[in-house]
Amino acid sequence: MRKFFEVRWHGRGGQGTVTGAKSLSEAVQGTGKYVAAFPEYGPERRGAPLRAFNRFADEMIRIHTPVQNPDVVIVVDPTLIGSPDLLEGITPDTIFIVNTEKSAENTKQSLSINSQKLYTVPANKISFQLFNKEIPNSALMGTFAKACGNIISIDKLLEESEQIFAKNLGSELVDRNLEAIKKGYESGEEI
Amino acid sequence: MSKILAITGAGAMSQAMRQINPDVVPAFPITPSTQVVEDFSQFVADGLVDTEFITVESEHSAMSACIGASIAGGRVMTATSSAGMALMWEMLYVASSMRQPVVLTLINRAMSAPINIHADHSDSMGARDAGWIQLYSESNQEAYDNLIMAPRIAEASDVRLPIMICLDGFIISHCVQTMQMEDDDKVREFIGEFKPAYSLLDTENPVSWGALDLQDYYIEHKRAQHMAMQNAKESIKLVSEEFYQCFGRKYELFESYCLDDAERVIIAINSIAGEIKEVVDDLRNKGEKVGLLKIRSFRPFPYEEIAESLKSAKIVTVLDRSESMGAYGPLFTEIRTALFDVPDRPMVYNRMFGLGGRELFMSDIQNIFEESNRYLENGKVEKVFDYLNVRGG
Repeated sequence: MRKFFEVRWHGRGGQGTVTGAKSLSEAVQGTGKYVAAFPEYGPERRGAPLRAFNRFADEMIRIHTPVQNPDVVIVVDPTLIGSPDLLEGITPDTIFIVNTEKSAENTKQSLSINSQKLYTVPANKISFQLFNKEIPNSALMGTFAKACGNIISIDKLLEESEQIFAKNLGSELVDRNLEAIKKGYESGEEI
Repeated sequence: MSKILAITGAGAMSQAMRQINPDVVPAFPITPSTQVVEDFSQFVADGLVDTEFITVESEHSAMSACIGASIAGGRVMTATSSAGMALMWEMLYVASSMRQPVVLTLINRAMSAPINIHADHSDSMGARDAGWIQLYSESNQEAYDNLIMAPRIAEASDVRLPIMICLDGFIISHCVQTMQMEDDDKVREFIGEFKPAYSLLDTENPVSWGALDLQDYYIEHKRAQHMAMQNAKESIKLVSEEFYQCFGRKYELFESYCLDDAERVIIAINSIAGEIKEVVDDLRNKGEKVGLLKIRSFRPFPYEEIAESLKSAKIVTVLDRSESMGAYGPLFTEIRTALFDVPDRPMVYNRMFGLGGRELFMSDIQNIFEESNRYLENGKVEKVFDYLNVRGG
């Protein structure tokens, strides 16, 4: 196995992408791994494309530079599908997790990927059902657990997330976020 | 109980402040250090600390309030970055010259203009002559550990100087990393109680503060500060040793990484040391004699100790992350000075990188070691000073 397991998130300002990346690292921390999570900060503008990163390892993580060859690419905003930035540095083994309501086959074509594994999940739809607004990150974390059970199982993700969310949210919102994770896990489709 | 957790660098600093439980924290927020005082103000509101939290109208006032509270006998802390430190400028000198052990978290950020919020060391390097102890930190863990040690180092009776703990903006301050946070009680026991040498509120033993001091004594007071800074070296070593006994993590004036038999050495400060260590490991696995010397204490600067550690070095690349236009980088200047008296001293040259947050990747660091190898084989440094990763270079 490679030394680091690396995740790159692509979203837009205001969608909770950075919070998603940080929460995922905090959750994976609970499995005993060493973690890092950091955003790429430009001017902080709502709606502007931004990237965030995770690294997971069995030893102390000493590097801080942006992820160049991601094991997983998470596309938080469906309007970014088709952007060449998503494909930067990918390998045949890179796994894509994409927030979309379109079919996996269709998404694969729009992304211009070939052999890479793809998971699609209607994370915006799930988010609207639960929060009545667009915060797709919790559902995407659930799909991550489906795609990368070797990094964190869905049960462990739910257990850790409950504590992480409770630091900043009331109990009702914690429950809804956990529900979003479950739905993201259940409705993630693999191709 | 100590615990392993994932936390941002700024979050780690606020947790250390909570554990230290200072008497007074005057603060004015500025990116990227805002989270430090933002989190801390929450601890104050939640009653987790006994601190008097003073919201002030500027950084100049923040440092002024720090000095006043410190003279009154309190243990005092604050945090800032870049332009915030620049606005403290006048008062930085007053804090050190009035010998107040104020503790500052400095989250390194580039100086404007052009406006930039990202990491370089132009803020702290600009303040290198202000009479503050400066410790630098590679990671969240080191920044947290340095801050826990800071009050003890600064308050030592033969030191009594302010101290700034520096860490890279965003790269560390906003990065969630795994680290060990120590037990509250154990930290408080380690820190102990602050007993000021003199206190404005000690009316039984009144002293004058802020006196006029012209040709007759000013220079003696400056020499006293210089001597106190020399003493700080011992204080850093003592407190670091005690920290090691208590918490098991070892720190010295600088870190020697694979240095014993290293022929090609990079010298650097702060977070970039992490990437360099990765590259050193890779090259060592291929049998190359490379190493890293990472500065922890920049003021006081350990000239003799560094010279001793570079005994086997044949060529040294000094990485600076702050400009001194018209001169070499500030770290290079010190390293070359440290090496001047060494017989058979290594070749040494300077590379400027990372201003305003520009990344330096591991491949760039490999290139540095390849370049130093070429220089070594040719027996000549072609360019003493150059920029890395820059357009039009």
